[in-house]
Amino acid sequence: MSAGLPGLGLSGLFVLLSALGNPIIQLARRRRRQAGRTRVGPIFALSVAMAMAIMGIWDGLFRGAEVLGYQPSHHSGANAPIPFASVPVVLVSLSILAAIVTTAELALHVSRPRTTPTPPPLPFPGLDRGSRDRTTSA
Amino acid sequence: MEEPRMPQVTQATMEIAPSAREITADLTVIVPAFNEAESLRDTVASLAQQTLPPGRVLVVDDCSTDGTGEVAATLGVEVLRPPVNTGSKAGAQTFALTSVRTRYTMAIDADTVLAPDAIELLAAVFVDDEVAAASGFVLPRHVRTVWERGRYIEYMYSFTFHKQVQDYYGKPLISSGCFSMYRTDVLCDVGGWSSRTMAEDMDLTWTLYERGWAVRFVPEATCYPIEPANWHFLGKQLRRWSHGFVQNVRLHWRGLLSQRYLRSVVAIAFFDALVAPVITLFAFPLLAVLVAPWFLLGYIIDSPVVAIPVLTGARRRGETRRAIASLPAYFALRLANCWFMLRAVVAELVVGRRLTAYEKGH
Repeated sequence: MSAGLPGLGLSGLFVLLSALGNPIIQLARRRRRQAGRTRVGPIFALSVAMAMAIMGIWDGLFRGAEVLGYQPSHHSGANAPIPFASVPVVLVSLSILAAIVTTAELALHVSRPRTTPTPPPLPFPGLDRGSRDRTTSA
Repeated sequence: MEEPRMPQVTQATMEIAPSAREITADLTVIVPAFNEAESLRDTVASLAQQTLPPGRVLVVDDCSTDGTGEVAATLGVEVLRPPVNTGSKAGAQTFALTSVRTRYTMAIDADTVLAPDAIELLAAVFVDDEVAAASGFVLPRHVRTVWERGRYIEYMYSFTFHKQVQDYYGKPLISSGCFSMYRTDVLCDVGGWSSRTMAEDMDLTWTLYERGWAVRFVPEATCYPIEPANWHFLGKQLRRWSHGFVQNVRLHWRGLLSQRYLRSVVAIAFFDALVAPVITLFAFPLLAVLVAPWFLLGYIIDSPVVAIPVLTGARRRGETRRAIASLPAYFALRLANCWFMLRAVVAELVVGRRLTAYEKGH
């Protein structure tokens, strides 16, 4: 079970958290004068509405279960424990998410990144150019 | 949350940057076509009706048997025909790329039509010298069958929310293959579109990131491909996409490690690809039988959350009723996605049976 709800998956939860973080990132960019003209308001508003919907669904689900006698609990919403352990659902989801992101970060240090080989370049007489690989030309 | 690095349009690049009009005049559109005689006419017409039409249109008749080449010839575009069928969309596009002499190249599918201002809007982001590829908003042209309706919701959800968030962090997951624009010299440098995976657009996008280029998503530039209307063609398309994702993760994982934000997105998507099919196809039904039937709610419980971006996007387009009517189909499509992803993971990672034959999805 995911605090982001099953169908959304952890990808959905990650994108939602990313969108919720947009204003903070935007502030940081402004301080460095790198903010550009991107409008973060509409996506942030969407993400807030979606987060509230998720909390509302969990809340309604556990209240409904309580009413029907399936889940007698003092907790409700995303803080409610999962059926087989007394761990809040949101904690389980965020822990898995953190573990995956941390694994990706660790892999960066354990395994040396390597640019994926590509097929040989094609001739392009349209421009006189040097190397267009920005990783080497930068 | 990771701090992304966004390419910036500096004063220096603005001064030498060409305008959207200059860019589209220096643009070749490649239309790969294999037995697309029925849909090609609409595609070419939509190119001709652009607010800023492209300088050149190349249709690649990939040894069609339905008269695609003859139809293309009557439409006033250049027609290329390889000596033998190239075997894939990537092959046909790369074949045409060797004939491109313009600074910019666009690839659009032969079943796709563009909104009249799509090319102008997409071209505008190339004033930034760091942008090597850009793609737009994708919506199914026909929304009739359950699979087309499901795809309509899937795209509306993904392009209204996921892709815009990814673009904010400077890393759209894919520059969609059905409608994307590129710098030709960069495209040639990486060998064009590769046939080594079943998802050539994902392969190319991730290659560009690895080489330090920026890829942009332009939500205002809209295209309308024909999506699979029945299970037969949907299966072919989903099989290709799911195998393509797994193949690309295997191919690029080392290269992706240096890509902030993207490495997290891909790692989590890969985890979802491994776990979500098992939960959806096995855990929910088992729990419903063994514990309580309420577990079946897991299939649709997120519908209000999905509905928020979908209805927001649909309302802007005046398609609210269509979106509401199509929402249930999304959950059927999601089950199909899970089934094909499970098969792809087992085939590619467990059994070691790679998908190598490219089959068209409609």
